[in-house]
Amino acid sequence: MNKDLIKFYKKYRLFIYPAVVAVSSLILIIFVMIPQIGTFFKSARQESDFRVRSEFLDTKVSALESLDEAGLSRQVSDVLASLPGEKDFAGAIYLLAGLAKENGFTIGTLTLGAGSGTKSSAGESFGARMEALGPKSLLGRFLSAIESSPRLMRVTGIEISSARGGDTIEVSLAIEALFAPIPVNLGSVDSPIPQLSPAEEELIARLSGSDLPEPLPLSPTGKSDLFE
Amino acid sequence: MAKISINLLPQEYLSNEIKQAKFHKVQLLSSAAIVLVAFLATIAVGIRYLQSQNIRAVEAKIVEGEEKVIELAGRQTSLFLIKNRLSTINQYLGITSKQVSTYALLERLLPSRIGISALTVDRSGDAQLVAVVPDILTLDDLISDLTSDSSGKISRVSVESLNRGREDTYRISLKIQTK
Repeated sequence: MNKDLIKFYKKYRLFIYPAVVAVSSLILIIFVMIPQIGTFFKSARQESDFRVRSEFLDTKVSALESLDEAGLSRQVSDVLASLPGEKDFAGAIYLLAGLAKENGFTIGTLTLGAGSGTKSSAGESFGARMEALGPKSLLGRFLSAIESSPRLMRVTGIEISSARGGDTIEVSLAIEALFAPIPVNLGSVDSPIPQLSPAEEELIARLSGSDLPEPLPLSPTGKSDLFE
Repeated sequence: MAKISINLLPQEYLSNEIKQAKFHKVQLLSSAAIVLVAFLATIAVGIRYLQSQNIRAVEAKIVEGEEKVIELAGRQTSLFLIKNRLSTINQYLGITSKQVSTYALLERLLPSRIGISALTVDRSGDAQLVAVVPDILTLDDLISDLTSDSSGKISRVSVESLNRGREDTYRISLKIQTK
């Protein structure tokens, strides 16, 4: 049998040898080279994506590291004083009382949470009703001071009646103080860092320069044990 | 003198020699081909290996970057919060409400001689005015000032009531609608 095979090979080796080589080459090409080349191109795309992400993360890390943490927390405090995350009754009372005093008005009653608050895409608001006594000539300035105060407030109703004659009037103001709950989603690892526009930089500088009451802490405060 | 060449080998041997030479050529070419293919396959495997090493290195860098971003998450949260608040603050800060605009307009238009008994500006920015006017001329001024407002903010002025009181004073109740 072996002798026959050797004889057969010797007779046709001119064809068998190249045929074996061709088959071996084909096996190498089909089972090694083509899959490797295919994976190479696929992985090249993946590698390129990874490099882009790595560069993005590097840029983001260096941008975040370059930020002044103390300055940032001051700015957070300023924006939260202007637009708190929840109803800041104490802050509103402090501010309205201060503005009324500055403009020569004496507050008779100040009811917070009065009327129905509103809810919009920009945020929510709670109502306040203030009854005060003061000079008619300063009412315009007082109203303007309420609306231009860094703590966002809108005057939604004005009722004036003359009190004791002369310049003194009784004024009843319906005010809405805006607040907006803190968003749940404040960026992920892959979200780009928000850039502040020059107008926003100017706005934050304006808020920083204002004398607003500190925002109320977002965590519950008070007695830890009510029955103590 | 020309050389005489005589081939004494049998014809069969000559043909075998030719076949052998042919086979050697084919063998050489085939071996070169398989070596080339094997070389190329090795290069392909090598490149893939290097590529996977690179990918692993980049992945490690990404993980490192992600960890650093998580460490600095507080700063990122602050920035997002500031941006979120500023967009809302920008919509409201320094913008005068319709009610205050109406009050400012009336303060500018109403003659100083009239005595305001009551003034109400409601949620829609419309005003209700009750005033005591000392004389008919002032009353005329009041109506004409309100109806000929150059700013065009007043859309309608209606007299709800008008009473003539003692000492020739007039008590007027007006409803002023704004645009």
